[in-house]
Amino acid sequence: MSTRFWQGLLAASASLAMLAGVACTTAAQPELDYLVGQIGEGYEYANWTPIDPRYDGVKFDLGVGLELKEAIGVKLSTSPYWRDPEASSPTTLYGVVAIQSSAPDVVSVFSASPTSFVLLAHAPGETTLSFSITGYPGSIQAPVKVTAATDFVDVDERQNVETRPDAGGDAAEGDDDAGAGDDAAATDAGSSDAETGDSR
Amino acid sequence: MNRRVFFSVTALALLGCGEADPCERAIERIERKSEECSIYVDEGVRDDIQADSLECSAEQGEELTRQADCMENASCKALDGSDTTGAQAFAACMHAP
Repeated sequence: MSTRFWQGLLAASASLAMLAGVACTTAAQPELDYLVGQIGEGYEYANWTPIDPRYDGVKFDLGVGLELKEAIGVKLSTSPYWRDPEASSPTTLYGVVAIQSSAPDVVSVFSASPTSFVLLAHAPGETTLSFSITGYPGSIQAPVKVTAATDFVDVDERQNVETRPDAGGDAAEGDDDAGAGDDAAATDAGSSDAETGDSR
Repeated sequence: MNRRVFFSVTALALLGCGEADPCERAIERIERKSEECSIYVDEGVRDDIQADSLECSAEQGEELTRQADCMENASCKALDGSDTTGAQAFAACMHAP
C-alpha cells in the first residue's frame, strides 16, 4: 500500500490515542480529606471547636482536634468526606474507618463500629489520632490533648460562668446551669474510674 | 515503518483505557470483602465517574492495594468493631508505613 495511506492511518490512530488519553485521565481519585467528628457518651468531658456553632455545636473538624479530661472515656462518631473539586459540597464516603493513636499511654482507641470509636484518656499529654477509610487514599491526623482532671474545665461551663451576671467569684460554686456532669468533671476527679466505666 | 508505528499506537489507544489499574483492582477487592461482611459501601461516588477514567498514581495504587490486603486478612468481626483486638490489628495494618 502507498506511504500516503499509512501516513493517513497513523494520523488517525494518533488522534485516537490522544482522545483516549484525555478520556482516561480526566477525574481525580476520590480520597479522604475531611473528617467530621461528634462526641456521644462522655461529651461533658471533652472540648472541641464546633464547625458552625450557630447551626450545630456538636460537630467538629477532627483535623482541628479536641481536648479530653484525664481518666475518662468518650464515644466518637465520624463522618468521612471527599472534597470533590467539581461539586459544591463535600461528598460522603462509606467504608471502614481505621483509627490509631500515636501515644496509646495517653489515649488508647477501640473500634465500636465501622465508623465509631471509644477513646480512653489515660494520662495528661498529647497524642495524634490517625484516621483512614477503606477504599479511599489519604488520612486525617487529629491532635488530641489530655488535660489533668483537676485542671479540666468544660467549655460550656466556662462560657456559662463568663456570661453569668455575678461572675467573678468562685467559678464552680453554685453553677447549676452547667449540669451535673460538668460539676462532676470540674470538682470530683476522684470518681474518674467510675466515669470511665460508664462511658464504655 | 509506518505500518509498525500505526499498529503500536492503535493498540496503545485501544488497550490503555480498558486495562484495570492498581486502584481499580484494589477497590474491587475491598468492595468484595465489604460485601462479604455486610459493610455498607455506597458505590455512588464512583458510579458517577467511570472507574477507568479515574487517575491512579503509583502512590494511590500502593495505598489502596495495602488497604485491600489488610481487609482480606481481617475478620468481619474486626471490621465491624465487635472484635476490638482484631480491629486494632487491622488499624495497625492500615497505617503501616
